[in-house]
Amino acid sequence: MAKQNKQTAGTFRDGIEGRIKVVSVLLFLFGAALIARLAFLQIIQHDTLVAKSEKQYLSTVKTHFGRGIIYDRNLNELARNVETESVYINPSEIFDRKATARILSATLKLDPDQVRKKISSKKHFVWIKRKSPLHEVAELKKSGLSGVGYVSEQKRFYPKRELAASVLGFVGMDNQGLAGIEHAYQAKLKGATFRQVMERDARGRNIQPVEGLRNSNLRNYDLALTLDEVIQFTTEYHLKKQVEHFKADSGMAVVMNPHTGEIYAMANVPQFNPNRYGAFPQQVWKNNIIASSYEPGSIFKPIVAAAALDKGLARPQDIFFCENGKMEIGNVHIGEASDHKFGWLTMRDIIAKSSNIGAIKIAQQVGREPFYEYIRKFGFGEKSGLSLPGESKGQLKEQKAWNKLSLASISFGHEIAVTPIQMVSALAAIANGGNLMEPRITHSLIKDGRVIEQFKPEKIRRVISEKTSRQLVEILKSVVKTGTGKKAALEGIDVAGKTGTAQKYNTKTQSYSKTEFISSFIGFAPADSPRLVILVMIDNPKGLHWGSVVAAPVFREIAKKALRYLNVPSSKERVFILDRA
Amino acid sequence: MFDGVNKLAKSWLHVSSKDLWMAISISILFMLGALALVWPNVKKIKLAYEYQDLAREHRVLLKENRLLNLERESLRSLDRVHRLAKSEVGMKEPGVGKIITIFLK
Repeated sequence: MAKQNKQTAGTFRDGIEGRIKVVSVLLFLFGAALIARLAFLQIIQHDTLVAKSEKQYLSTVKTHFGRGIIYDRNLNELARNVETESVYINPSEIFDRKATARILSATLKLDPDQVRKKISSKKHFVWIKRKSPLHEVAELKKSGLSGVGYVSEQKRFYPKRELAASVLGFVGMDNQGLAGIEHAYQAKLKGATFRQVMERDARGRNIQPVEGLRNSNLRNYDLALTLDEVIQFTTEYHLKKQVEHFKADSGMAVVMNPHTGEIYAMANVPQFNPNRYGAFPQQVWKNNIIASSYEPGSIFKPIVAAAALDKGLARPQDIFFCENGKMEIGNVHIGEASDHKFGWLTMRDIIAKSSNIGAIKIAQQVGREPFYEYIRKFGFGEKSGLSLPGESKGQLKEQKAWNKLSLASISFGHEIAVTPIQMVSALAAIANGGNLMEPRITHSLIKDGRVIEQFKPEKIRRVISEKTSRQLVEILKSVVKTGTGKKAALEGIDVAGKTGTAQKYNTKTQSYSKTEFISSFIGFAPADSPRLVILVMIDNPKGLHWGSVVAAPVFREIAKKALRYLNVPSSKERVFILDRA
Repeated sequence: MFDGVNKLAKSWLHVSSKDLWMAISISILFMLGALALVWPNVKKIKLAYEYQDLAREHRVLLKENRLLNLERESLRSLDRVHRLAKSEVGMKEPGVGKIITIFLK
């Protein structure tokens, strides 16, 4: 019995040992399989699995910093952004194509055929409508269409619509500046999209950013212009009224501070709405004040007078014989406007009465070379330096290329083409004591509400002496008091200026038109301590065409309102000075 | 309670009561440690959710603010103000004699 028990114990032990060996082998195999699997997951599939896991718990959130805001000099907004959404489709995810096309075209007000065509595309991303109005997108989202997606985008918006549109310019579909300030300051104004990686939970809710926020460096610059909304509006309003009244082709007006070169207003008529610039013909997008050049006509005569006075070759009271209205140079007959027959006139009267022959006589006294030199010194024939794209430098022939008639023609503003900005800068130099200032349209760059860079006034050069400037101011005052510019006079404020009526050159007939004119008035006020230089040019007015009748009244209205706005009282007003204490 | 634990140690677990107390203490310390480790994280996540909710609300309010600003700027358009002043309110521009300029010193 005991032997049997011993045998049983031995067999049991052998059995146990065998089983232990089997289990050990199994455990070893299991361990080896586990290690192999771990090696496969951790080494071979490492990158793929890390990417998969990141995709599960990380998401990218986009933050849009739209284009910088454009302000006027008093920080009134002229251009800003509005958040919109763009609609796209992934045609492969659309099940009911007919119904989707119907809903999309009805909600987004699109051509059904175009939408159907897009839905039939084999691409995986097709734009349906960029920058749709918010209410359209909200309505579309309610329908819960499959395969339709939305992208948040910024749209440029000009809240003042036509105001200063030719200066501001406009942007394209991708918010790139295409014209005006928007184009010139694209690098500073352009928007940016900041992508931030966020952790998210199992339900897809964002928890926290993986990296810290770095917003401050990504914000764009805002830009303050020198334009003044009120003066700009006043200028546009009166210019437009006159252009419509005289059924003119177009009109331009510039208002400038003669001491700093700051432009307070730059108006072009006809206007356009930059919010939907595509609905307007391309020619109205152009800022003619900088991009087009015109024969200035008689408003150029102060330049001849300035050259003569500054060179000491003539004095305001010196007399010149005006040939009783008939003068011939070579075979060309030159006469006076309205067939005036002036005899002897002082230099003051030549300018005041706008005698062409008198201007020729003064120019002849100055001589070709010095006259050309002064024209260049006043900034004609070169770009003014204004920070706007597409500036023309006008047309000024090299003095060597002048013919026998050139000196005479240029003296009364023909055979030379100047941009309105050149003309207003030149008169500003006469008004401010003789310094040519660089015209400026930008006031400062702003970031996060703080001024980062302020653009300072730049003096280009001294053109004439202060004495010459004072003499010219007196001459130009007489134009408004007793000469051709009476309609520019303001009650209680001295005005200095010059009228101009230039015949337009017809390129087809190669001659000056007898029916088409550019009527102008350029002046400044108050004459003895000028705050504003204003140029008004009206292209091809119908009926009357004299600058004194067509352009001078616009100058008067703009000057009257702008000076009142700038707190420059007239001598007819009651003025009180109150002590705050 | 102490008797109960001692009884449990001797009759059920066949260990000395000292050992059981030691095990319980270590367990409690371990749990406290784990809690100390996890609690700030839970709090952080909770705060992150709250922050995200507030950030979302902030974005919505900013959007609304921008739209309202836009509307205000459009309504302040001088063209519109001028038209309303003349046609609806019947305002006229004052003549030179009717203007008094006051400068404050």
